[in-house]
Amino acid sequence: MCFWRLPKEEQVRYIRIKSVVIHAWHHLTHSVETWMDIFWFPMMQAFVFGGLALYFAKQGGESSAQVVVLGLLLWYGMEAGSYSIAVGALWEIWARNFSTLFVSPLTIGEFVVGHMIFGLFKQFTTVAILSLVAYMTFHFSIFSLGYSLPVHFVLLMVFGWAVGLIAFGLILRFGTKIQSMAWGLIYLIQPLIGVYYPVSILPPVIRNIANCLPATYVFSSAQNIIHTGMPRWDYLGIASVLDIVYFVFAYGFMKWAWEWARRAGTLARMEE
Amino acid sequence: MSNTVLEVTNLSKRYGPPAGGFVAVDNISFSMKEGEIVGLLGPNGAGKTTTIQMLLALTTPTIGTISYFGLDLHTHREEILTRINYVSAFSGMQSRVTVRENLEVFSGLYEVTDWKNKVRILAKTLGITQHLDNLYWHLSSGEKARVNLVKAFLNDPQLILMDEPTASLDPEIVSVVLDLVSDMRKRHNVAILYTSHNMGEVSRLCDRVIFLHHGTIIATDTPLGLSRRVGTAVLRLTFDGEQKPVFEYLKLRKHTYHSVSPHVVEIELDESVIPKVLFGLGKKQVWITDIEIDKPDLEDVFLAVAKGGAGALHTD
Repeated sequence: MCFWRLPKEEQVRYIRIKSVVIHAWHHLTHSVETWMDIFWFPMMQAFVFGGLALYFAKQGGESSAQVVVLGLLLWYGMEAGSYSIAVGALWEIWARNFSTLFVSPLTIGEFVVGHMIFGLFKQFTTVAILSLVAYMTFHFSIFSLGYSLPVHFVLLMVFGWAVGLIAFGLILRFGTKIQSMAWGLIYLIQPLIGVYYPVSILPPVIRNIANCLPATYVFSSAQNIIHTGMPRWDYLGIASVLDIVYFVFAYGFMKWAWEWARRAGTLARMEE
Repeated sequence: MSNTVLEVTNLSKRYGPPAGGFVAVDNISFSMKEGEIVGLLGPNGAGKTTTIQMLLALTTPTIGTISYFGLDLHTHREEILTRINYVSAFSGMQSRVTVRENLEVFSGLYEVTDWKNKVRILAKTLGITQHLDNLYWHLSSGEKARVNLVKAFLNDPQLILMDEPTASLDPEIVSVVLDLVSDMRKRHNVAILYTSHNMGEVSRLCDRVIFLHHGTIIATDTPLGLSRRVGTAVLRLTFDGEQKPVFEYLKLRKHTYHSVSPHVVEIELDESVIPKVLFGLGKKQVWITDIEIDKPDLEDVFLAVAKGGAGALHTD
């Protein structure tokens, strides 16, 4: 449907979401810290893990090396989603702009959607740069994932959004004293989901927890491509269902925390 | 006939569990007409901030309703917030981006068309044109307050909530802001709910004052009416000649007075009877050489309530 044919209310909603995206873009263009988070640290990781991969390759572990480099690229695709929502909200709180935004007609849903959209841009940019580094330095092509490449990234992105929403919800509920959750929560998950190794090497108890996380299936499917040349569509199917469950739960949790903060009066004092 | 732009009915906010919880706002009701400037005053902890947070939908009331333009805030939040605005000396904008970029974003959120032109005009009025391309965090607190005011006027609001908008501004800019507020009311009939600790500003701007104390409204009146409730005026007269006729006249009229010096007397009396006293003394051939009138003002009301609570105000 054309934009101008949308009901007035939806057009306005679109304009407000667009404003959040523009706001995030303006912030990115001025914030050295954000550039460091998006590009510098991933690049450094790319060199460290790329070096490790080269070492593996020289030891005869060609496929292990590819698993490490692919894991790194996919990981940053997922992290961008989480980072965009949770750290995006924190930047507003630190600047005392959070309540100024929400005394305007902006809704929390529009704010989150705006940051999710901007997260896509960050994901694309980060992964594109890392892929270039991986290709030029370590001769690894991300396109070795074939036509299932976008599916893997989308599934990880959605899970990243869900983690970001939970981190944001926790900040709304407990305040900025737990702000490190904004960038730290996703790293609690990293060891479980087999980013750089197959989950089969994990102890059974941890493996059971890992099996409840959609990202585990996405990384396993990607690793399967390295080993067999084919994605695991059954795994991607399970990941899709789990993604929906996690996203719905995370959004519901964030909304509950938002309403809780409004009732408790802490939303207005978030910046103090 | 002017329309009601804001209607607050039986609004209460209780924080914490019901047993032993803290009541910040206790069953307040008031309304505002279009074009009206209303001061919301009270000592710290009176409930002003919580009331404003509820009026902005940042905090949910425990009970009670808030409606703007006949629409319930709970069910029509976005529609209402598009038509009102808020400014406070204590809120900020994104500090890492420029003033112009911040205002571009708020223009989008408030559905402002022709935002570039509007920003240009408002920035010129408030003297921040030269700062439009500076990062917000490079501005002084006074400059930030003026940028916040530009944001508050961007959407041609029908009602603006102003929470100490002039705190941290120098007197010259305060005067510009107060003139702008008066002008906005005159030209656009905008209603303003105004809080400030500067009673002079409140007296100058507000048609009506709502005085809060411990979460309840203890008085609603004009600034003048409110100041009359706090006590009597003091008339200080300097006169030539003897004291006797002066004191005889004041005794006869049952005025409270005391002699400051042989030719100066201070009389405590209601402001409205001052002309009568001056006329009466004139008729007694008292030659008055100097007159000073010390009238109670909002500052006295504020101090009286802070010290003595609601009982400090007389009821008419």
